[in-house]
Amino acid sequence: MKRSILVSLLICLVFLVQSVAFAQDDVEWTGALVIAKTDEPNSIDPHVHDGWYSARAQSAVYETLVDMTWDPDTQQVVFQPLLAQSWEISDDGLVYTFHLQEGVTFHDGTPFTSESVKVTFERNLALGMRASWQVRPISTIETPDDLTVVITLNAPYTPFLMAMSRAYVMNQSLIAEHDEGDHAQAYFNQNMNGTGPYKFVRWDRESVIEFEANLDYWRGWSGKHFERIILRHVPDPATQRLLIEQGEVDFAMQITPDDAKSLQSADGVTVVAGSAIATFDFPIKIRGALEDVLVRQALSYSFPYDDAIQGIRGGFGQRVYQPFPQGVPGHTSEGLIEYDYDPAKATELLTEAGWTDSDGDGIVDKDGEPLELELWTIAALPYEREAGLMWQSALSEIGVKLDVVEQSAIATYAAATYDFDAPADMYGWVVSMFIPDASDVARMYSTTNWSGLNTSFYGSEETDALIAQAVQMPDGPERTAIYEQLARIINNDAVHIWIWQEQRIIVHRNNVGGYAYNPSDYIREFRYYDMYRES
Amino acid sequence: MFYFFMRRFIGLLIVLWAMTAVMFIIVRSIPGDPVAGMSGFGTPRYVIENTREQLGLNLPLYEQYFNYLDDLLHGNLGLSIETRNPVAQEMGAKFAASAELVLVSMFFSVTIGVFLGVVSAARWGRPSDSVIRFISLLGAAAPLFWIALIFQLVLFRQLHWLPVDGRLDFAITPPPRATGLLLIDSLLAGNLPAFGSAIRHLLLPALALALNSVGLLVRQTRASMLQVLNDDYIRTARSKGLAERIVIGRHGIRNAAIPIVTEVGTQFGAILGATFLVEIVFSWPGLGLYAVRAILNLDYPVIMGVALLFTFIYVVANFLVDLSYPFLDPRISR
Repeated sequence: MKRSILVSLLICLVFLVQSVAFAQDDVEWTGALVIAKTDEPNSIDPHVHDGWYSARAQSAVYETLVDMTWDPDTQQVVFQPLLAQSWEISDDGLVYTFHLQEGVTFHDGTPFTSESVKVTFERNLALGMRASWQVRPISTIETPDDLTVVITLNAPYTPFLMAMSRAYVMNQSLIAEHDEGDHAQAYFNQNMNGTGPYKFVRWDRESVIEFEANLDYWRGWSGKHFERIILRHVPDPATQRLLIEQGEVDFAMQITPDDAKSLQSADGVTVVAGSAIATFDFPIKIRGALEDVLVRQALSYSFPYDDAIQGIRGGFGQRVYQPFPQGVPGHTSEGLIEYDYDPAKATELLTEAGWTDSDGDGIVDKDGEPLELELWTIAALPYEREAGLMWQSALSEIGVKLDVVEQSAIATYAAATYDFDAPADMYGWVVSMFIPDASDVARMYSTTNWSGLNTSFYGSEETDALIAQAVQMPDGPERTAIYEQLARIINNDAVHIWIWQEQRIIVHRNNVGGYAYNPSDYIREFRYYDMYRES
Repeated sequence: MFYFFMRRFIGLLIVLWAMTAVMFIIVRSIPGDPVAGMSGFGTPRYVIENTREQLGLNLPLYEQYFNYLDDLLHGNLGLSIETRNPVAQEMGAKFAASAELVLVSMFFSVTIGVFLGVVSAARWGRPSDSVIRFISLLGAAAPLFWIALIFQLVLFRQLHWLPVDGRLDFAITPPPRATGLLLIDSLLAGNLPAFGSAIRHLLLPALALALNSVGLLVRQTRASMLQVLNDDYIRTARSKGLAERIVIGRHGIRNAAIPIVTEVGTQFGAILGATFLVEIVFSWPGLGLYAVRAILNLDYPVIMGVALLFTFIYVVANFLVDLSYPFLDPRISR
């Protein structure tokens, strides 16, 4: 009897060991994923910078509590468990309780607990840098036990789960160990240590960022995966094209529209033209002659949109008439003024506003003042200047003089955000959303963000109230309706020249599996864990 | 000789100091706020102010300039605004890559340029002279980005002979860093595959970089040689019955050397400057790429640091050229 128990135990054990071994043997490594890109991460420290290019590196190593995926059928985002296996939201929308995944460790073996979450979020708040928007709504963080985090917000903030899908969890023991009064910034500027599927190997600036598979990854490895991830710095788009054509790289992230067209018929590569939740605008600073909504509308009718999309982007772009890009709830097609290129209409509006060419010099004037405007474009983004020059010649036909001035991105940034009196009346701006929630763009039109995000210095009590109300409302048709109303008001007020919704051009080799373009989530542009090479 | 050294050394210091002043004025008169730009959208104003304070960018300009000079005297080039790493350390990491590229490129341009120039002069008026003159004209006139592109298309895309980006194949583990020059490091480590890969990666950018200088050097060498070859002592040497090889090699080149060496010094500066372009086209992780990024970000300390380093190298190179004159022509040292 005893013996048989022993034997059966032994058999169980053998099976157990076998099954564990099996789970690990099951994986088939398919070499290295090589991505050619031109932009370096601003920082690999997720609390210093959370932009697109930084996230491309950070997302291999770090993970968030909540995963966010895109459902192409419903065109909506879906939240899924990641480091939190489940969560509850209180009815008033103030308290978020996250139940954490058990048995997760960081790459140095430190266990992941509720303490990790608390320390991480507090660090992010304390640094107060670009990524701190993720945690700014938080009032308190409590950790009743190792696997529970209770977060209380200052006020309801509907996109909080989206923010949580952005907030990477860092290693609390390394933060403590390397804190030299700088919250370990110096350390995490050079090192990465998260819970994710890949471990950081090296970052040679302007050369290569390399990751290798984390064999102890908590979700385990089975099936096909890449063993290494290599981000190669290839600053010249023409060189990127050569490399992807020859199969030297799997992805090329900066292909010009012209090259993309000719690659569409090439063998072995796929050209993805995916719409992004970003628009290319010329925000109008509301001052002087531009305080008159008729003048702004006239300007909106004077831009040669289709010529610009065809001529500059080679057709890779969509018309957009409103602040919220397609794919974001609040984007609407009803009640909008469709500003297409219509010089006759523009002249009509200018005349109505009192601007006519009374002295015959070819430039319209009012009270003896000619209508002369200045547009700043960013030197590093030459298409902005091209768009500006196309507009300049279109405007000259309706008697408006436009100076197109090329500036550094940084000068434009400073003039746009802080300085009401800067010479620029308009500037080139790619409005790129942090999260696919209308609130992220809406805040650009709030008076609370004057001398900040609201580069137009636009706003009224009515719009401010709507913006403040909607950000707290629970998700649903009512909330969407408010954003649609906002879209109409802002569209009628012609606050920006909305030129196109960006379409991102990504070229990849056909034999890469597990990749799907995700329009809503730049930090999960690549789901490295899901990707593999087809044999 | 001592006075010569001292004079040049003081000259070097003055040039470097003037460079800091000129660069400081140029860089600071570009409108823009790098801290705001780097922090990005939506950063609260106080965070930006804090960062400016940390970096000393809130002080009056003249004070910032004196602080910079003070740091410089202590060998400190400041912190990069973007990365917050010491600029000297970052430049050190990039320097070797550029140095390797420039040195190999100089090697090509001097050997090929002088050789072709001498051949061209020796065969004056014959078909080979015309061919070399035509090639050198082409080399001197063709824009660098175009040469680079043609090299890439022919040697990488069509023939698959040479790679077009980076310093090493990604499958190869880089040798441990001793000098930073991959050719030397890989030999020291006895890592032949890395050595081969490093050479293959160097060839295209170095040749593209050298081609303009080759053209100009051929022309300078040829002109200089032709002048010398018409001199009496050459006729004497020939009439003594010396072999043409010795006439050209021993009597010709040595007398024609000074203008050639001067041109080499000038070309060194040109190649140094051209790395900005070539490093972008060939994804070469050197100082040029580093500087271009810094310029776009308006990263003041980095721009200043690279400019100073390039000035220093250029001045020293020309100093070496000057030093070589007495050896080439003993009459000068008198």
